[in-house]
Amino acid sequence: MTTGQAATPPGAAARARAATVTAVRAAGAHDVVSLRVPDAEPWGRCRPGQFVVVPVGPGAGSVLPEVHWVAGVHGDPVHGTTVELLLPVDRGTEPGEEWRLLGPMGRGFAPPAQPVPVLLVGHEGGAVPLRWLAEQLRDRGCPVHVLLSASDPELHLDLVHLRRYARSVVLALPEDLPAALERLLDDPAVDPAVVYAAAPRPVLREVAVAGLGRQRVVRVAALDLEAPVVCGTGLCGSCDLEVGDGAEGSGGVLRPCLEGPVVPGELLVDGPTR
Amino acid sequence: MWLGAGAVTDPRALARFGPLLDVPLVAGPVEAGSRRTRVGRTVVHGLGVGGLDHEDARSVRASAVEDVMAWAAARGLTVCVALRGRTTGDLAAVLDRLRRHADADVLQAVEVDLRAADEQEVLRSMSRVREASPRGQHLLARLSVAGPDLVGRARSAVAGGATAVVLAAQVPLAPGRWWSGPSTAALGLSGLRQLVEAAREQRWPGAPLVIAGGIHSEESARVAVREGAAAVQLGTGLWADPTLLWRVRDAVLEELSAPTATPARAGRAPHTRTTRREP
Ligand code: FES
Repeated sequence: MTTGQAATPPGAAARARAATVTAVRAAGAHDVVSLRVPDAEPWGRCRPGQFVVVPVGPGAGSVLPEVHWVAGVHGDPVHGTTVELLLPVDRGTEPGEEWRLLGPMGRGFAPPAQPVPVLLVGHEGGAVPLRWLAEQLRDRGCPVHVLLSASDPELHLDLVHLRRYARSVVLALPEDLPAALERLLDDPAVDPAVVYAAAPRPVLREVAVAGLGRQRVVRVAALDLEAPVVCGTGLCGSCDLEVGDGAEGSGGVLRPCLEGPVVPGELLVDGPTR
Repeated sequence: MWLGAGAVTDPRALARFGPLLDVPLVAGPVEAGSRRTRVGRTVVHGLGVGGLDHEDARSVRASAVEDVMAWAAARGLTVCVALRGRTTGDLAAVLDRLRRHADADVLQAVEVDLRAADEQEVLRSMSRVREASPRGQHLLARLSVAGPDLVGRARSAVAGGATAVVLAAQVPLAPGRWWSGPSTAALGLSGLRQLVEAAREQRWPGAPLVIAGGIHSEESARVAVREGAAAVQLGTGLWADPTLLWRVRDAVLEELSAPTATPARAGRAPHTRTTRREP
């Protein structure tokens, strides 16, 4: 049993698309990299939580592709469409580089139908989708609260940007995250109707348990791009997540890079801890 | 053109990147007794120059292969089943079940994983699989190039009923653990040369050779065809770039049809028909 259909419909991710790095701007431990892409489609429909795969030629040495969250898409009639990524500084990205991209891949975060308060929970570089999501939700009138954890304050993601869009940004050490999460969920001044999370799986499970236990809607990006990703295209199975009735191999299997990465928090609560 | 079972664990994912009408989907590896519903959790232990250290894909149960067969049948596609078994009875039991499935006519080929088998085991396993298969079923024997007496094992495979030999050019690192990637291309070519040469000297009857390992570009596929491969199998190269499949397919077809290309093949070209097997 698998849990669902591929999130990218046939043809949508089919072509490798050309992109040119037009700007690289420092943002803490990351570079904000702007890529000019020739077509507005399908980028115009891209959502936070979707990602791109940068194929490599193994003959040139590297045997696995790069997989990155989409950190923003901007378009205007004069400059065309620009895709933003947050890449580690040590990647050494330079303006003028020509790339091939597969994507946008996967299923992103859907905004709530009403402008309700929301809580975004992230961990270190895994929080990239939340940076763009905060922007979009604030533009829809949602009061946005952010909870970020990091083992080193230097590893928090682009706080200047997040503080511009969020009503509150709470920072925590990983071990303090569960308590901070419960405080925010129970705080009447926050009172989130929806909790969005992008973090490693153990954090996602904590968020799902705490949020669902309080009858909040929970949506999580179940792909951890901070951990090594083998393919990002659904072929290898290294990102598989067992969900459902638990025993090894007998329950459902979710393949986040193919069927997600954004999935209801309920899927993580029922599965065994991995 | 074939797909590696351990590398393409869900062919439906690959279908998003282009048409698969002339490439059999790979299903499995399937093994009697497995409870897994999906091949997955590929474990990569490390990366190095031109390759990676990874574990074998875990086997799935027959129902997982049947899901792929049904999916392929609905789209007019064909399937190659990758088969494993501890005993020859296990191999036959899985095949027997798949043959009785409503969509059995999508089964274009069966690839039997014999990488760890010696000459005798290859003969016994292929003979049992041949017995359990319908007449005309395309059977591939997957042999490790790195093992001893490749020619003897290839001879046994053909004697047992294999219609093609897949040369797995992975480097064994430990039981169930392999080194794969472009750096294994030389190993694949050495296996290819051994078997082409041995066929010329009539030390084995010859069969179409499929090279599996080290094919990570159009050029490496062309080289393999020039050296005598009748087809190539793509595996971990697709992790790096899934669109490589269609570029390599075009390169192989072009190389095979080039008037100047007269490689010393070890057998006639493998069947790569796109239509389904007649019932
Ligand atoms: S990373 Fe390969 S299947 Fe998800």
